[in-house]
Amino acid sequence: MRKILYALFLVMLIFLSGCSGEGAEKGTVLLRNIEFDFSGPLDAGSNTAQYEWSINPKDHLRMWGENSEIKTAKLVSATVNDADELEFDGVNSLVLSLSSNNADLSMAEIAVLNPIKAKSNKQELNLAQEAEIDDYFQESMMYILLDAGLAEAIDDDMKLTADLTFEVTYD
Amino acid sequence: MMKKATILSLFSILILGIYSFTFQTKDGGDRLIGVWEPSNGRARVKINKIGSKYFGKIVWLKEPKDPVSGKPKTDKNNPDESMRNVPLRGYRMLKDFIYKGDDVWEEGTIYDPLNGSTYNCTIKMTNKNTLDIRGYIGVSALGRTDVWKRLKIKKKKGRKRGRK
Repeated sequence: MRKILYALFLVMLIFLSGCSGEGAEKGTVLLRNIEFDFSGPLDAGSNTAQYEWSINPKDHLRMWGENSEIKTAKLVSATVNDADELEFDGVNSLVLSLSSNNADLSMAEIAVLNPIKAKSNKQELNLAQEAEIDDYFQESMMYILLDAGLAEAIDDDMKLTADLTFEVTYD
Repeated sequence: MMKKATILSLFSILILGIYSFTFQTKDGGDRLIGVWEPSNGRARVKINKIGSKYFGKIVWLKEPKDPVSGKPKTDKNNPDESMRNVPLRGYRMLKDFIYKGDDVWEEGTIYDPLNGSTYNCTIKMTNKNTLDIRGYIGVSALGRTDVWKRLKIKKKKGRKRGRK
């Protein structure tokens, strides 16, 4: 049953909604159930899984207008879920970052949770207030990285998923 | 006889050239990947590749706990106050390095968690187990070089998830 539910949610859903206002328009980019597969054995300390986001936000902006361009972007919510439903057993911290192959773009840490709140399959991360990610939304591809800090080594694989919401302005 | 020797030499050079070209192309800059120890021995940094760039994160600290709080150290000097509880063990202190050939990786930065400063940085592999890490502000001539040594780390056996 769980597998079937997963299959339903495996597909990343991107939803863009626009609203008119003075000056630049505002929109929301939602990433739902993006998967982070940690291949075991996992080391004590930080382990990284990456998600390659190869969807060009510019393509989606065409929903609002042919020549739209994203001006600014900000992460407004980040939730990480334990897909194995083990209440983040063994995990004591989570850090979310963005990276790109573009030499002009530096890696940006965008959210953190340390320590993990106990006994839950869902964790809301604290957002970086000064992360500059506007230029990532000019790229056709970026890496979303999830670092899971483990208290001790684990011989299993681990699967976490994330729901991210970005607010963008465009014109 | 002389002509035969010349052809043989040329052929050898050609083969050697093809071999080294193949080696360079195949290998790229991935020989940087591994666990390294700075000269002060206070930390160990694991270098990995994400996309086409190289990053190094702290995987071991000689003094992992904050002497005041007794809790695991965090990035308490991060200029972004909201990120000061990022664990130091796991922090990427080397970021965004691009392999330029000739055992040199450039365009990256190195972060000093002791003061929260980020410096431009170049990495030069002087032999397969030694790196010259040069941090600088502005021009490379005005900087400091530290020598890092490669470590071989054995994986520790772990437990199963959910069966503590």
